[in-house]
Amino acid sequence: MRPRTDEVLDSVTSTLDEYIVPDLSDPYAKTMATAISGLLRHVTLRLQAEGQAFYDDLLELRAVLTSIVGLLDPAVVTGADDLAKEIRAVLDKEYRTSREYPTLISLADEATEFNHVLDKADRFLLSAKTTLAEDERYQPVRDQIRGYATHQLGREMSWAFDVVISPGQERAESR
Amino acid sequence: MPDLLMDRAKFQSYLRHKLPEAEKLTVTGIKKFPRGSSRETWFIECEGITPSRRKLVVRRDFLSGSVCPLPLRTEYEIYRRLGPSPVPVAEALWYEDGLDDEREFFVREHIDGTWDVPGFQNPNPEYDDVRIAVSKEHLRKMALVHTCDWEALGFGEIMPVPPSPETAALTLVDTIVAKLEEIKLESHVLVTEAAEWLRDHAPKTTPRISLCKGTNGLGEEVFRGGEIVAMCDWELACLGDPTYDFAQLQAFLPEIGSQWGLTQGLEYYEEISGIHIEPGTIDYYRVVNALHGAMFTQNAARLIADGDKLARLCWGATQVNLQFRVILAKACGLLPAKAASAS
Repeated sequence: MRPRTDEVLDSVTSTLDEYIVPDLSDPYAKTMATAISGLLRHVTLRLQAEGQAFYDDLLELRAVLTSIVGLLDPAVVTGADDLAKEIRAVLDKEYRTSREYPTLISLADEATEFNHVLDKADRFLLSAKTTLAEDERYQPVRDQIRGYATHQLGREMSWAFDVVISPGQERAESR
Repeated sequence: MPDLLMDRAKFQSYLRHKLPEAEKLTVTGIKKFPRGSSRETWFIECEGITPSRRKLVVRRDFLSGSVCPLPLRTEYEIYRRLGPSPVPVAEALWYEDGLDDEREFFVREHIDGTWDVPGFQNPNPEYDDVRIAVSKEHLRKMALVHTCDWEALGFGEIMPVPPSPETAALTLVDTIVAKLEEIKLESHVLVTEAAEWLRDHAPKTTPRISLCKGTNGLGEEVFRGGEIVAMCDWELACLGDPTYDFAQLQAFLPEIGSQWGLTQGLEYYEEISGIHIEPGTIDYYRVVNALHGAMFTQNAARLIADGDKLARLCWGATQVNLQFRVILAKACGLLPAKAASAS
Protein backbone atom coordinates (compact mmCIF):
# COMPACT_ATOMS: atom_id res chain seq x y z
CA MET A 1 0.00 0.00 0.00
CA ARG A 2 1.32 3.49 -0.84
CA PRO A 3 2.15 5.73 0.77
CA ARG A 4 4.39 3.52 2.93
CA THR A 5 4.39 3.96 6.70
CA ASP A 6 7.58 6.02 6.61
CA GLU A 7 6.08 8.25 3.90
CA VAL A 8 2.97 8.81 6.02
CA LEU A 9 5.10 9.71 9.01
CA ASP A 10 7.23 12.04 6.95
CA SER A 11 4.18 13.89 5.64
CA VAL A 12 2.65 14.17 9.12
CA THR A 13 5.93 15.58 10.46
CA SER A 14 6.29 18.09 7.65
CA THR A 15 2.69 19.23 7.94
CA LEU A 16 3.06 19.70 11.68
CA ASP A 17 6.29 21.67 11.25
CA GLU A 18 5.05 23.82 8.37
CA TYR A 19 1.41 24.48 9.11
CA ILE A 20 0.76 23.96 12.80
CA VAL A 21 3.83 24.78 14.90
CA PRO A 22 4.37 28.28 13.43
CA ASP A 23 0.81 29.27 14.38
CA LEU A 24 1.06 28.16 17.98
CA SER A 25 1.31 31.07 20.40
CA ASP A 26 1.12 29.28 23.74
CA PRO A 27 4.68 28.43 24.87
CA TYR A 28 3.66 25.07 26.29
CA ALA A 29 1.83 24.05 23.14
CA LYS A 30 4.96 25.02 21.17
CA THR A 31 7.12 22.93 23.49
CA MET A 32 4.82 19.94 23.14
CA ALA A 33 4.60 20.31 19.37
CA THR A 34 8.41 20.49 19.14
CA ALA A 35 8.69 17.31 21.18
CA ILE A 36 6.06 15.62 19.00
CA SER A 37 7.86 16.68 15.82
CA GLY A 38 11.09 15.20 17.15
CA LEU A 39 9.34 12.02 18.25
CA LEU A 40 7.81 11.57 14.79
CA ARG A 41 11.28 11.80 13.25
CA HIS A 42 12.54 9.40 15.89
CA VAL A 43 9.80 6.89 15.02
CA THR A 44 10.62 7.20 11.30
CA LEU A 45 14.28 6.47 11.96
CA ARG A 46 13.41 3.53 14.20
CA LEU A 47 11.11 2.14 11.56
CA GLN A 48 14.04 2.12 9.15
CA ALA A 49 16.79 0.93 11.48
CA GLU A 50 15.38 -0.82 14.52
CA GLY A 51 14.54 -4.14 12.91
CA GLN A 52 18.13 -4.68 11.76
CA ALA A 53 19.39 -3.36 15.10
CA PHE A 54 17.33 -5.96 16.95
CA TYR A 55 18.60 -8.71 14.65
CA ASP A 56 22.18 -7.60 15.29
CA ASP A 57 21.56 -7.21 19.04
CA LEU A 58 20.02 -10.66 19.34
CA LEU A 59 22.78 -12.36 17.35
CA GLU A 60 25.37 -10.76 19.55
CA LEU A 61 23.37 -11.46 22.72
CA ARG A 62 23.16 -15.16 21.85
CA ALA A 63 26.92 -15.31 21.37
CA VAL A 64 27.63 -13.46 24.63
CA LEU A 65 25.19 -15.52 26.67
CA THR A 66 26.58 -18.75 25.23
CA SER A 67 30.07 -17.64 26.29
CA ILE A 68 28.80 -16.85 29.78
CA VAL A 69 27.20 -20.29 30.14
CA GLY A 70 30.54 -21.83 29.25
CA LEU A 71 32.14 -19.95 32.14
CA LEU A 72 29.59 -20.94 34.79
CA ASP A 73 30.89 -23.89 36.73
CA PRO A 74 28.80 -24.84 39.77
CA ALA A 75 31.86 -26.50 41.26
CA VAL A 76 33.60 -23.14 41.31
CA VAL A 77 30.90 -20.69 42.37
CA THR A 78 27.54 -20.99 44.13
CA GLY A 79 24.55 -20.08 42.04
CA ALA A 80 26.27 -20.76 38.73
CA ASP A 81 23.99 -23.68 37.95
CA ASP A 82 20.76 -21.72 38.48
CA LEU A 83 22.01 -18.84 36.37
CA ALA A 84 23.12 -21.18 33.60
CA LYS A 85 19.64 -22.77 33.57
CA GLU A 86 18.03 -19.34 33.38
CA ILE A 87 20.23 -18.34 30.46
CA ARG A 88 19.56 -21.61 28.61
CA ALA A 89 15.82 -21.11 29.08
CA VAL A 90 16.03 -17.71 27.40
CA LEU A 91 18.24 -19.07 24.60
CA ASP A 92 16.02 -22.09 23.95
CA LYS A 93 12.68 -20.33 24.15
CA GLU A 94 10.64 -20.10 20.95
CA TYR A 95 9.64 -16.46 20.60
CA ARG A 96 7.47 -16.93 17.52
CA THR A 97 6.41 -19.73 15.24
CA SER A 98 7.89 -20.15 11.78
CA ARG A 99 4.73 -18.61 10.31
CA GLU A 100 4.84 -15.48 12.43
CA TYR A 101 6.52 -12.38 11.10
CA PRO A 102 9.03 -10.90 13.56
CA THR A 103 7.29 -7.62 14.32
CA LEU A 104 9.25 -4.83 15.98
CA ILE A 105 7.18 -5.30 19.11
CA SER A 106 7.92 -9.02 19.31
CA LEU A 107 11.63 -8.38 18.69
CA ALA A 108 11.62 -5.70 21.40
CA ASP A 109 10.07 -8.14 23.87
CA GLU A 110 12.57 -10.83 22.92
CA ALA A 111 15.50 -8.42 23.29
CA THR A 112 14.15 -7.29 26.67
CA GLU A 113 14.30 -10.88 27.96
CA PHE A 114 17.79 -11.41 26.59
CA ASN A 115 19.06 -8.13 28.02
CA HIS A 116 17.52 -8.87 31.39
CA VAL A 117 19.30 -12.20 31.73
CA LEU A 118 22.53 -10.70 30.38
CA ASP A 119 22.40 -7.97 33.00
CA LYS A 120 21.73 -10.53 35.70
CA ALA A 121 24.69 -12.57 34.48
CA ASP A 122 26.95 -9.52 34.39
CA ARG A 123 26.09 -8.69 37.99
CA PHE A 124 26.78 -12.29 38.93
CA LEU A 125 30.16 -12.25 37.23
CA LEU A 126 31.07 -8.96 38.90
CA SER A 127 30.04 -10.24 42.33
CA ALA A 128 32.01 -13.47 41.82
CA LYS A 129 35.05 -11.71 40.41
CA THR A 130 37.50 -12.83 43.07
CA THR A 131 36.57 -16.48 42.45
CA LEU A 132 36.18 -16.44 38.69
CA ALA A 133 38.99 -14.05 37.74
CA GLU A 134 41.49 -16.92 37.86
CA ASP A 135 39.68 -18.54 34.95
CA GLU A 136 41.43 -17.32 31.76
CA ARG A 137 38.05 -17.11 30.06
CA TYR A 138 36.69 -14.60 32.61
CA GLN A 139 38.18 -11.40 31.21
CA PRO A 140 37.43 -12.22 27.53
CA VAL A 141 33.80 -12.88 28.51
CA ARG A 142 33.65 -9.60 30.44
CA ASP A 143 35.15 -7.85 27.40
CA GLN A 144 32.53 -9.51 25.22
CA ILE A 145 29.75 -8.21 27.50
CA ARG A 146 31.17 -4.70 27.43
CA GLY A 147 31.61 -4.96 23.67
CA TYR A 148 27.95 -5.82 23.29
CA ALA A 149 26.97 -2.83 25.47
CA THR A 150 29.04 -0.53 23.24
CA HIS A 151 27.65 -1.95 19.99
CA GLN A 152 24.06 -1.88 21.24
CA LEU A 153 24.40 1.76 22.29
CA GLY A 154 25.90 2.62 18.91
CA ARG A 155 22.96 1.01 17.12
CA GLU A 156 20.51 3.04 19.22
CA MET A 157 22.38 6.25 18.57
CA SER A 158 21.53 5.95 14.88
CA TRP A 159 17.98 7.05 15.70
CA ALA A 160 18.78 9.78 18.19
CA PHE A 161 17.05 13.09 17.52
CA ASP A 162 17.50 16.58 18.81
CA VAL A 163 14.78 18.44 20.69
CA VAL A 164 15.80 21.55 22.55
CA ILE A 165 13.61 22.71 25.36
CA SER A 166 15.16 25.43 27.47
CA PRO A 167 14.96 25.34 31.28
CA GLY A 168 13.50 28.82 31.00
CA GLN A 169 10.47 27.50 29.21
CA GLU A 170 10.09 24.94 31.96
CA ARG A 171 10.16 27.37 34.85
CA ALA A 172 8.66 30.59 33.56
CA GLU A 173 5.41 30.30 35.43
CA SER A 174 6.04 27.55 37.91
CA ARG A 175 6.74 29.70 40.97
CA MET B 1 -12.72 9.57 38.42
CA PRO B 2 -13.84 12.86 40.03
CA ASP B 3 -11.10 15.45 40.25
CA LEU B 4 -11.25 18.01 43.02
CA LEU B 5 -9.04 20.41 41.12
CA MET B 6 -11.35 20.43 38.10
CA ASP B 7 -14.32 21.53 40.22
CA ARG B 8 -13.90 25.06 41.56
CA ALA B 9 -16.95 24.95 43.84
CA LYS B 10 -15.90 21.66 45.33
CA PHE B 11 -12.34 22.83 45.90
CA GLN B 12 -13.63 26.03 47.47
CA SER B 13 -15.75 24.00 49.84
CA TYR B 14 -12.73 21.85 50.66
CA LEU B 15 -10.55 24.91 51.40
CA ARG B 16 -13.20 26.48 53.63
CA HIS B 17 -13.33 23.23 55.58
CA LYS B 18 -9.54 23.11 55.79
CA LEU B 19 -9.21 26.78 56.74
CA PRO B 20 -12.15 27.39 59.09
CA GLU B 21 -10.87 30.89 59.83
CA ALA B 22 -11.58 31.74 56.19
CA GLU B 23 -15.34 31.15 56.09
CA LYS B 24 -15.68 33.81 53.40
CA LEU B 25 -12.92 32.37 51.24
CA THR B 26 -13.70 32.36 47.52
CA VAL B 27 -11.64 30.52 44.96
CA THR B 28 -11.33 32.89 42.00
CA GLY B 29 -9.03 30.80 39.85
CA ILE B 30 -7.58 27.32 39.49
CA LYS B 31 -4.91 27.02 36.83
CA LYS B 32 -2.75 24.04 35.96
CA PHE B 33 0.87 24.77 35.25
CA PRO B 34 1.20 23.34 31.75
CA ARG B 35 4.87 22.40 31.97
CA GLY B 36 6.81 20.20 34.33
CA SER B 37 7.59 16.60 33.58
CA SER B 38 7.70 15.08 37.06
CA ARG B 39 4.49 16.10 38.85
CA GLU B 40 1.41 18.28 38.41
CA THR B 41 1.50 21.84 39.75
CA TRP B 42 -1.70 23.87 40.17
CA PHE B 43 -2.06 27.53 41.07
CA ILE B 44 -5.01 28.54 43.20
CA GLU B 45 -6.13 32.15 43.61
CA CYS B 46 -8.38 33.11 46.48
CA GLU B 47 -10.12 36.09 47.95
CA GLY B 48 -11.53 36.64 51.40
CA ILE B 49 -8.44 35.35 53.14
CA THR B 50 -5.22 36.74 54.59
CA PRO B 51 -2.85 38.09 51.90
CA SER B 52 -0.26 35.40 52.48
CA ARG B 53 -2.82 32.74 51.54
CA ARG B 54 -4.33 34.42 48.48
CA LYS B 55 -2.15 32.41 46.17
CA LEU B 56 -1.60 28.72 46.85
CA VAL B 57 0.23 25.97 45.02
CA VAL B 58 -0.98 22.38 44.88
CA ARG B 59 1.41 19.57 43.98
CA ARG B 60 0.35 16.04 43.10
CA ASP B 61 1.46 13.11 40.98
CA PHE B 62 0.09 12.38 37.52
CA LEU B 63 -2.73 9.85 37.39
CA SER B 64 -0.18 7.17 36.46
CA GLY B 65 2.34 8.21 39.09
CA SER B 66 5.46 10.34 38.92
CA VAL B 67 8.68 10.34 36.94
CA CYS B 68 10.30 11.71 40.06
CA PRO B 69 11.97 9.11 42.27
CA LEU B 70 11.21 11.12 45.39
CA PRO B 71 7.75 10.31 46.78
CA LEU B 72 5.29 13.20 46.92
CA ARG B 73 5.10 12.91 50.69
CA THR B 74 8.88 13.27 50.95
CA GLU B 75 8.80 16.40 48.79
CA TYR B 76 6.24 17.86 51.19
CA GLU B 77 8.32 16.84 54.20
CA ILE B 78 11.39 18.57 52.74
CA TYR B 79 9.49 21.85 52.54
CA ARG B 80 7.94 21.33 55.97
CA ARG B 81 11.20 20.45 57.71
CA LEU B 82 13.11 23.30 56.12
CA GLY B 83 10.47 25.74 57.38
CA PRO B 84 12.23 26.51 60.67
CA SER B 85 15.69 26.59 59.02
CA PRO B 86 17.48 29.57 57.45
CA VAL B 87 17.01 27.99 54.00
CA PRO B 88 14.41 30.04 52.09
CA VAL B 89 11.54 27.83 50.93
CA ALA B 90 7.83 28.23 50.37
CA GLU B 91 5.84 27.32 53.45
CA ALA B 92 4.36 23.84 53.27
CA LEU B 93 0.80 24.14 54.55
CA TRP B 94 -0.64 20.64 54.64
CA TYR B 95 -0.54 17.20 53.06
CA GLU B 96 -3.86 15.72 52.00
CA ASP B 97 -4.29 11.97 51.87
CA GLY B 98 -7.69 11.59 53.44
CA LEU B 99 -10.09 12.21 50.57
CA ASP B 100 -11.88 9.26 49.01
CA ASP B 101 -11.32 8.83 45.27
CA GLU B 102 -8.85 11.71 45.10
CA ARG B 103 -5.13 11.59 44.50
CA GLU B 104 -2.97 12.69 47.41
CA PHE B 105 -1.64 16.22 47.17
CA PHE B 106 0.03 18.87 49.24
CA VAL B 107 -0.53 22.59 49.46
CA ARG B 108 2.16 25.20 49.86
CA GLU B 109 2.26 28.95 49.68
CA HIS B 110 3.06 30.68 46.41
CA ILE B 111 6.11 32.92 46.47
CA ASP B 112 6.14 36.02 44.30
CA GLY B 113 9.32 36.51 42.37
CA THR B 114 11.10 35.43 39.23
CA TRP B 115 13.55 32.70 38.22
CA ASP B 116 14.91 35.00 35.54
CA VAL B 117 17.21 37.73 36.88
CA PRO B 118 17.25 40.63 34.39
CA GLY B 119 20.53 40.76 32.54
CA PHE B 120 21.94 37.48 33.79
CA GLN B 121 21.70 35.81 30.40
CA ASN B 122 22.72 38.91 28.44
CA PRO B 123 26.25 38.20 27.16
CA ASN B 124 27.18 41.89 27.12
CA PRO B 125 30.13 42.40 29.53
CA GLU B 126 28.22 45.27 31.19
CA TYR B 127 26.19 42.54 32.89
CA ASP B 128 29.22 40.69 34.28
CA ASP B 129 28.63 42.29 37.68
CA VAL B 130 25.03 41.04 37.63
CA ARG B 131 26.25 37.55 36.86
CA ILE B 132 28.79 37.60 39.68
CA ALA B 133 26.23 38.99 42.14
CA VAL B 134 23.71 36.28 41.22
CA SER B 135 26.39 33.62 41.45
CA LYS B 136 27.44 34.76 44.93
CA GLU B 137 23.84 34.97 46.14
CA HIS B 138 23.23 31.44 44.89
CA LEU B 139 26.38 30.19 46.61
CA ARG B 140 25.29 31.85 49.85
CA LYS B 141 21.99 30.03 49.74
CA MET B 142 23.61 26.72 48.79
CA ALA B 143 25.90 27.20 51.79
CA LEU B 144 22.79 27.53 53.97
CA VAL B 145 21.47 24.26 52.56
CA HIS B 146 24.76 22.43 53.09
CA THR B 147 25.35 23.71 56.61
CA CYS B 148 21.82 23.32 57.95
CA ASP B 149 21.44 20.87 60.81
CA TRP B 150 19.68 18.13 58.85
CA GLU B 151 19.72 15.78 61.84
CA ALA B 152 17.89 18.22 64.09
CA LEU B 153 15.45 18.97 61.25
CA GLY B 154 14.65 15.27 61.00
CA PHE B 155 15.93 14.59 57.50
CA GLY B 156 17.37 11.27 58.65
CA GLU B 157 13.75 10.09 59.02
CA ILE B 158 12.90 10.66 55.37
CA MET B 159 16.12 9.95 53.46
CA PRO B 160 18.84 7.30 53.55
CA VAL B 161 21.69 8.41 55.79
CA PRO B 162 25.18 7.41 54.63
CA PRO B 163 26.96 5.52 57.43
CA SER B 164 29.90 7.97 57.11
CA PRO B 165 31.03 10.85 54.88
CA GLU B 166 33.39 8.43 53.11
CA THR B 167 30.47 6.20 52.06
CA ALA B 168 28.24 9.06 50.85
CA ALA B 169 28.85 8.31 47.17
CA LEU B 170 28.35 4.56 47.59
CA THR B 171 25.08 5.11 49.48
CA LEU B 172 23.82 7.32 46.67
CA VAL B 173 24.82 4.90 43.92
CA ASP B 174 23.19 2.01 45.77
CA THR B 175 20.00 4.02 46.30
CA ILE B 176 19.76 4.83 42.59
CA VAL B 177 20.47 1.23 41.56
CA ALA B 178 17.83 -0.02 44.00
CA LYS B 179 15.30 2.35 42.46
CA LEU B 180 16.20 1.08 38.99
CA GLU B 181 15.51 -2.43 40.26
CA GLU B 182 12.09 -1.29 41.46
CA ILE B 183 11.22 0.23 38.08
CA LYS B 184 12.55 -2.84 36.24
CA LEU B 185 11.15 -2.14 32.80
CA GLU B 186 14.25 -3.11 30.87
CA SER B 187 17.84 -3.90 31.73
CA HIS B 188 20.89 -2.24 30.28
CA VAL B 189 24.15 -3.95 31.09
CA LEU B 190 25.76 -0.54 30.44
CA VAL B 191 24.06 0.80 33.57
CA THR B 192 25.43 -2.09 35.65
CA GLU B 193 28.92 -1.42 34.29
CA ALA B 194 28.57 2.29 35.05
CA ALA B 195 27.37 1.63 38.60
CA GLU B 196 30.39 -0.64 39.12
CA TRP B 197 32.68 2.09 37.79
CA LEU B 198 31.11 4.60 40.17
CA ARG B 199 31.65 2.27 43.12
CA ASP B 200 35.27 1.66 42.12
CA HIS B 201 35.96 5.37 41.66
CA ALA B 202 34.03 6.75 44.63
CA PRO B 203 35.86 9.69 46.24
CA LYS B 204 38.01 8.61 49.16
CA THR B 205 37.61 11.88 51.04
CA THR B 206 34.34 13.71 51.53
CA PRO B 207 33.96 17.06 53.30
CA ARG B 208 30.86 16.07 55.28
CA ILE B 209 27.35 14.71 55.01
CA SER B 210 25.06 17.59 54.12
CA LEU B 211 21.51 18.03 53.01
CA CYS B 212 21.90 18.32 49.23
CA LYS B 213 19.34 20.02 47.03
CA GLY B 214 19.89 18.24 43.74
CA THR B 215 18.84 20.36 40.77
CA ASN B 216 19.88 23.93 41.49
CA GLY B 217 20.73 27.18 39.77
CA LEU B 218 19.11 28.93 36.83
CA GLY B 219 15.40 28.19 36.63
CA GLU B 220 15.22 26.52 40.04
CA GLU B 221 15.29 29.44 42.49
CA VAL B 222 12.97 32.40 42.96
CA PHE B 223 14.57 35.84 43.08
CA ARG B 224 13.15 39.09 44.34
CA GLY B 225 15.23 42.23 44.60
CA GLY B 226 18.45 40.36 43.86
CA GLU B 227 17.88 37.86 46.66
CA ILE B 228 16.77 34.25 46.48
CA VAL B 229 13.48 34.20 48.40
CA ALA B 230 12.57 30.59 47.69
CA MET B 231 14.54 27.55 46.62
CA CYS B 232 12.47 25.18 44.50
CA ASP B 233 12.73 21.75 42.92
CA TRP B 234 13.96 19.38 45.61
CA GLU B 235 13.14 16.27 43.62
CA LEU B 236 16.73 14.99 43.59
CA ALA B 237 17.48 16.01 47.19
CA CYS B 238 19.45 13.60 49.33
CA LEU B 239 21.85 13.41 52.27
CA GLY B 240 25.41 13.20 51.04
CA ASP B 241 28.48 14.97 49.76
CA PRO B 242 27.69 18.63 48.95
CA THR B 243 29.85 18.22 45.82
CA TYR B 244 26.78 16.44 44.39
CA ASP B 245 25.05 19.84 44.17
CA PHE B 246 27.94 21.48 42.35
CA ALA B 247 27.64 18.83 39.66
CA GLN B 248 24.02 19.88 39.11
CA LEU B 249 24.50 23.62 39.29
CA GLN B 250 22.82 25.21 36.28
CA ALA B 251 24.53 28.29 34.82
CA PHE B 252 25.18 30.16 38.09
CA LEU B 253 28.97 29.68 38.04
CA PRO B 254 29.77 31.48 34.78
CA GLU B 255 33.37 31.84 33.67
CA ILE B 256 34.12 35.59 33.40
CA GLY B 257 37.74 35.92 32.37
CA SER B 258 39.97 36.01 35.43
CA GLN B 259 37.27 37.75 37.45
CA TRP B 260 34.99 34.86 38.25
CA GLY B 261 34.49 31.18 37.60
CA LEU B 262 34.61 27.78 39.25
CA THR B 263 37.87 28.48 41.11
CA GLN B 264 36.73 31.80 42.54
CA GLY B 265 33.25 30.46 43.24
CA LEU B 266 34.53 27.49 45.22
CA GLU B 267 36.88 29.77 47.19
CA TYR B 268 33.98 32.08 48.01
CA TYR B 269 31.78 29.12 48.93
CA GLU B 270 34.49 27.74 51.23
CA GLU B 271 34.88 31.14 52.93
CA ILE B 272 31.18 31.31 53.78
CA SER B 273 30.49 27.65 54.49
CA GLY B 274 33.79 26.24 55.71
CA ILE B 275 33.34 23.39 53.21
CA HIS B 276 36.11 22.57 50.75
CA ILE B 277 34.95 21.17 47.40
CA GLU B 278 37.44 19.32 45.18
CA PRO B 279 36.89 20.30 41.52
CA GLY B 280 37.81 16.78 40.36
CA THR B 281 35.06 15.27 42.47
CA ILE B 282 32.50 17.45 40.70
CA ASP B 283 33.22 15.46 37.53
CA TYR B 284 32.57 12.22 39.45
CA TYR B 285 29.18 13.49 40.59
CA ARG B 286 28.28 14.50 37.03
CA VAL B 287 28.47 10.80 36.24
CA VAL B 288 26.30 10.04 39.29
CA ASN B 289 23.83 12.58 37.88
CA ALA B 290 23.78 10.68 34.62
CA LEU B 291 22.95 7.48 36.53
CA HIS B 292 20.18 9.37 38.31
CA GLY B 293 18.97 10.65 34.96
CA ALA B 294 19.01 7.19 33.42
CA MET B 295 16.87 6.08 36.35
CA PHE B 296 14.15 8.71 36.26
CA THR B 297 13.89 8.66 32.47
CA GLN B 298 13.43 4.90 32.76
CA ASN B 299 10.62 5.78 35.18
CA ALA B 300 9.09 7.88 32.40
CA ALA B 301 9.16 4.77 30.21
CA ARG B 302 7.43 2.88 33.03
CA LEU B 303 4.61 5.46 33.11
CA ILE B 304 4.14 5.09 29.35
CA ALA B 305 4.13 1.30 29.67
CA ASP B 306 1.49 1.66 32.41
CA GLY B 307 -0.76 3.71 30.14
CA ASP B 308 0.19 7.39 30.41
CA LYS B 309 -0.05 9.14 27.05
CA LEU B 310 1.96 12.33 27.55
CA ALA B 311 4.35 12.74 24.62
CA ARG B 312 6.92 14.48 26.79
CA LEU B 313 7.32 11.26 28.76
CA CYS B 314 8.26 9.51 25.51
CA TRP B 315 10.77 12.25 24.78
CA GLY B 316 12.35 11.79 28.22
CA ALA B 317 12.31 8.02 28.03
CA THR B 318 13.96 7.93 24.60
CA GLN B 319 16.25 10.81 23.71
CA VAL B 320 17.04 12.06 27.20
CA ASN B 321 17.58 8.53 28.53
CA LEU B 322 19.95 7.85 25.63
CA GLN B 323 21.94 11.03 26.38
CA PHE B 324 22.43 9.91 29.97
CA ARG B 325 23.53 6.44 28.88
CA VAL B 326 26.09 7.96 26.50
CA ILE B 327 27.55 9.94 29.43
CA LEU B 328 27.71 6.74 31.48
CA ALA B 329 29.33 4.85 28.59
CA LYS B 330 32.03 7.50 28.23
CA ALA B 331 32.70 7.50 31.97
CA CYS B 332 33.20 3.74 32.22
CA GLY B 333 35.25 3.48 29.03
CA LEU B 334 32.64 1.90 26.76
CA LEU B 335 32.79 4.92 24.49
CA PRO B 336 35.78 7.22 23.95
CA ALA B 337 35.49 10.43 25.97
CA LYS B 338 35.26 12.45 22.76
CA ALA B 339 32.63 10.25 21.07
CA ALA B 340 29.63 12.03 19.56
CA SER B 341 26.82 12.75 21.96
CA ALA B 342 23.36 11.35 21.42
CA SER B 343 21.97 14.42 19.68
